[in-house]
Order: sequence, then structure tokens, then C-alpha cells
Amino acid sequence: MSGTSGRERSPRVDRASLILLTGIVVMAVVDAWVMVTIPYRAPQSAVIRESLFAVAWTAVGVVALVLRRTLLARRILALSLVLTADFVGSFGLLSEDLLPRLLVTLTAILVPLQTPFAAHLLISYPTGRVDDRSGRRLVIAAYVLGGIQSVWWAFAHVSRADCAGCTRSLTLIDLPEASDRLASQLFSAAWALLGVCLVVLLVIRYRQGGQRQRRLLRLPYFSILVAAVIFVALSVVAANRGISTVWSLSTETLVALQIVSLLGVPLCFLISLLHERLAYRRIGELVIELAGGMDADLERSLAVALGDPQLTVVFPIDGGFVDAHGRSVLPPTADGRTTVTSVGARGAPMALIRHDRSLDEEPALLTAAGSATRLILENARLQAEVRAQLLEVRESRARLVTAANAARARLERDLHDGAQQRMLAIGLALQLLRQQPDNAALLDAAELELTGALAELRELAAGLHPAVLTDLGLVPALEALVSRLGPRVRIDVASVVRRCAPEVESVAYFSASEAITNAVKHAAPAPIHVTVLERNDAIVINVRDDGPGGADAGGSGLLGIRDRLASIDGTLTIVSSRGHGTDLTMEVPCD
Amino acid sequence: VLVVDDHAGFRRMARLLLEFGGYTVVGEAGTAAEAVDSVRELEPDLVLMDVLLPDGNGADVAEAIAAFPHPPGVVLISSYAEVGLGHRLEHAPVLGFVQKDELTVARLADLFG
Repeated sequence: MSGTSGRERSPRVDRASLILLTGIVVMAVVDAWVMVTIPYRAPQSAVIRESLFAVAWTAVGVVALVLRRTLLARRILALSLVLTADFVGSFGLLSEDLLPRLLVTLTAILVPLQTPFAAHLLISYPTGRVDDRSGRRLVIAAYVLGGIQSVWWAFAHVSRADCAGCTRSLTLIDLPEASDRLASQLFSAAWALLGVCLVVLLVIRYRQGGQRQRRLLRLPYFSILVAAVIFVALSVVAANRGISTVWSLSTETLVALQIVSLLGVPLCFLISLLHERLAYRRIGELVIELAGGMDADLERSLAVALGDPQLTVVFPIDGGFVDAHGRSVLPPTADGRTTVTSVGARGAPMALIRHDRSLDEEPALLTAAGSATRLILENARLQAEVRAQLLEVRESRARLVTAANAARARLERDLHDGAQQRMLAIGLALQLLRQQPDNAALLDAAELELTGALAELRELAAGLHPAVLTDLGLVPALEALVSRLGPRVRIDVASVVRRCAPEVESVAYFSASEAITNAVKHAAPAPIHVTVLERNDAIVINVRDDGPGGADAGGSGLLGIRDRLASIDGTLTIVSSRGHGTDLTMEVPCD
Repeated sequence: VLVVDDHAGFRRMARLLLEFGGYTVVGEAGTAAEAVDSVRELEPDLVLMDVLLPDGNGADVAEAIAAFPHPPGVVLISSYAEVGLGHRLEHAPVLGFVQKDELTVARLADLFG
């Protein structure tokens, strides 16, 4: 696996997340202490809601951290810290001590920042990174707007309006009611505009995402949508009743609804994170499934295991690419939704997987899938190789049997057409001689036939297995053969060639003999040069001619030689380009 | 008599044998085609013919020449036994079959009549 694998080795908890977590814990302790020691106006439901909300987001952040989604964890924990730091200050504390005043000041500053932190999390989900320009612009805009509002709130916190006795922000200054209202309206309009932009961005992103990406986005987006609808509905209800703040709405069902919808958002993020994690179990299932048999569909299995239905696998073969079914395909290219990851050695990948971009964030998942794939690929390739070899051996064996049958038929025909006919003629002659014992012409004719029959039988016997081969070995047998063929064929024996096993000598002799006969037939009138030498426990016989060349390596003659040599682990090398003669090298093991 | 066999040495001996038996050998042929031509040309009374010819089967030649205006009597010979040569010989329009190593003047005389 190449590419993103380095990230796996990053420490389990990064420093930024650790600082954020520490901050959250410190703030939680301060919150708890303040709530225990200082009286406040907020109803119990609001306290429960705000506490649960902060705790829930912190928990999701910790889960993300445990799942090694470092960047995302940072985003979530940052939001959690803001939530933890600002909620108690908004409870309408009834004290003028320094600590509560500090807390209220902090709340005034931080509350406007909740929105940019949440927007940042939402825009960067699920990677924790904002890669596109419009997303980055929107995040920056949200932080700028939140920053401006937090400065404004530092001096003009809303809580002072309806609670005269409440703890006041340290920086609060009295501003005219009109300017406060104007600022509120301006901020509301700006946030509304930003909200519309955010919705547009998320809709576009959802539509552009691959199937896997969409599935990751679906649940969190849906939960936010539900929460937003409920929030708007409650606001409308509140407005209809002529009540300006949500706190006054203490109808239990409405509050419960609000709590559920608000808690639903972190819950859905949590479910999404855990669901992604389940993919690792599917990798295990993938390994088991693929180990079950070769007919398993590798591409399908990977797609299911990685939760990416549009995933494709291709294999580089002979400079091109084939898909899982062996069809030739174009090399895969990454686009806006997909990434191409190679499995195997860096320079020579075993397979290329084109997958949803969202998988880039799961290098460990890809590595696991890649390893499972590598095993099965290796297996498949070995099997294919073995099958090919088996097929070759079967074909070769069949060809050897066919050749042996053909040789036997030829032998029978040679005997029938030659020596047998002569014997029959001699029989007739003897029959006639019985009647005419003095017929010299008959005797001559009979003797001629007998001589011919003997010569033919001798030649046949030599063709079956030359006696010189058995008695003196390969080299004398080849020399005898060459001498019978006349001056066109020359033989050079480079060194002393030792004797080999009879079957090896026999195969070597007949292979060489056929090669020489072929050359005599096809390369006429070019001379033929035969060399025999011993090299590394092998006998090497080379038959070379300057004939027309262009010998067909798949022709029955050369195939027959190759098969025969293969039967004793020998090899045949053919060099025969048209116009440059033919060069056959036969090598047989001899030990 | 016309002698048909692809082996020249055997043809020569067969001719001598036939002539010794009192027959007149009017010609020799080495192939099925030559045999048909020679029969048409020489109009022999009898044909002594090998079954296995390089370009065909003696039984087929016998059938072909049986259609001639004055068809000669045909005796088939072979170095193989009759049973090894298939069913076609049974229905061929011939006087008989002799295995080559059993070929004698007396046997031919029987078949030629």
C-alpha cells in the first residue's frame, strides 16, 4: 500500500486535542463549582439541556480521538470546549464576585463563536479538513462574523436586558437601546445569509459526493436539518405566544423535543463514526469470503467491505490493464469524487483500486483491504500459472502420444511397402525356380530383391534406434548420421562429451536428427553446421543453417522436438528470422 | 493379362509367374489411374490387381472397369489377409481374392477359369 500509510503511525492522541481536552475538563470543573456555590435563575431544563449538549459533544470528540480521526476530533473538541466554557455564564448567575463575572465575560465572548466552530466542523466533516475554496471562504467568513459579534457582545451582552440583578460581564458598557437593537438585527441578517450559503454549500457537496461519501454525510446532515426545523418551529411558537426568549417556554414537551433534537446531532455524528469503524469487521469477512474460493467476485467483495459500491479494481498486465473479469480496460484516473490507490510494490503495482475520496481518510482500512486483496491476487496469479503449466503438459503429452502413433504407422507402412513386397517377390521367384532351376535371370532378380530388402531393413532398424548410439554414444551416432548425409552437413564437437542416460541420449539424438533433416529439407542448398558441446551438466547441440529462415516455432516439427526435449527437462531455443537462416539450440541435462 | 501393383519387383515376378503358367501378359500398371487407362487401351481378358494402390483402392478400380463395354475378369491380391481389408471386397465385381504369399499359378488358374 502506498500513499497515505504514513499517517497510521501518528500518535494516538495529538497535542492539540490533548490541550483541548484539558481545557474542557478544567472548564467543566469550574462550571460545576460555580453551579454548586452560586445561585442562578435558569430553569432546571435549561441546565440539563446545556450540560448534556456539552457532554455529548465532548464524548463524540473523545470517540473520534479513539478512532484516530485526529483532525475531526480536533474540530469536535474545539466546539466542545466553547460549549463547556460558555454555558454556565448564560444561566443568569446571581453574584457580583470576580469568578462569576469572569465566567459571564467569557460567555459573552464565546457564545458568538459557537456558530463558527460548529460551521467549521460541519464544513470539514467527515475528514476534519476543508479542501475546497468556497468551504474555506465560508469558514473564514463565519469566524470573522463570530469574532466581530463576540467583541460586540463583550460590551453589550444580551443578558443584562432582562435581569437586573444578574452577574454582569466585566467589560459591559451601557449602550443606547436603539444601537443594541440595530446591531442585533444586523448580526441576525448576516448569520442568516451565512446560513443560506452553508446550506447551499452542503447541498452541492452532497450532490457531488460519491455514494460512500453521501452515506457518511447523510445522517449528520439529516440530524442538523431536523434540529434546525424544530428550532425554527419552536421560535415561531414562541413568537406567536409573544414570548421573546426560549427559556420562558417551559412547556415540558417542547423542551424535551428541543433536547432530543439538539442531542440528536452529536448522536448522529457518533453513529456515523462508529458505522465507518464497522468496515474493519467487514474486511475480516472479506478475507474469509475470498479465502473461501476463487469464484468469489473480488471487486464486489471489496466494494462491500469498503462500503463503496462504485469501487473498481484493475490489474496491470503486459503494459495494459484488465478488470476483474479479464477484459481489457483503460488505466483508472482519479477525479473529483475518486482516488486511485495502488496495491503491491511501488514500481510494479499488483492492482489499482479506484475508490471514493472519503476512503483517503481511512488509510488503515485501505491497507487492510489491500493486504487481503494482495493475498488473493497472489493466489489467483499462482493458480493461473499452474493451470497454464498443466495445460501445456497435457497438450505436450497428447502430442507425444500422437507422434508415437504416427511413427508406428509410418514404420508399418515402410515395412509393408518396402521389405515385405521384396520378400513376396522373392517368394514368387522361388516358386518359379522350383520349375526352372537353371533360370539365371530369375536368380539374379531374386538376389536383387533380397539385397534391397536387407538394405531397407537395416535403414529401418537404424531409424528405430541406431546401434552406434547405444554402443558408442551420442557424438559418434550424430557423426555417423552426418556422414551419411554428405558434404553439405558439417559437425564440430568442441570437447569431449560424456555419456548420458540412454533415454537422454536417445531424445537428444532424435531431436538433433530431426533438426538436421529439417534443415536439409528446408534450407537447401545452404550448408548446415552442427556443433555439440558439454556445458554445466548439460549437452548443448546447435544446428545452424544459412537458409531462408522464418521457421515456425508452432509448427508440428519444431513442436515435436520441443515436446520430446521437454520429456527429459531439455529445452529448445529457436532463432529464425526471415532471410537470416535458422539456428536451433537443444539443451539436455546430463548428470 | 494386365498386372497392377505399385512395386516393380513384385510386378516382374508376377509377370514371369503368369507367363510360366501360359498366360500372355499384355501390360503392367503401378497406380489405379494407370490401371483404368491400360484396361481401356489394352482390353485385357484378365486383371491381376493389388488392393492397396498409391492413389486408390483395387476394389474401386474393379468397379470402374466393370462398367466398360468388354469388362475383364479381375482377381485382387494383397499382402494383407482378406478380412483385414474391409467389406468392400465382398461386393466388388471380381472373380476372387488371393493373399500375395499364397499366389500360385494353380490358384490363378482356378479363379480365371
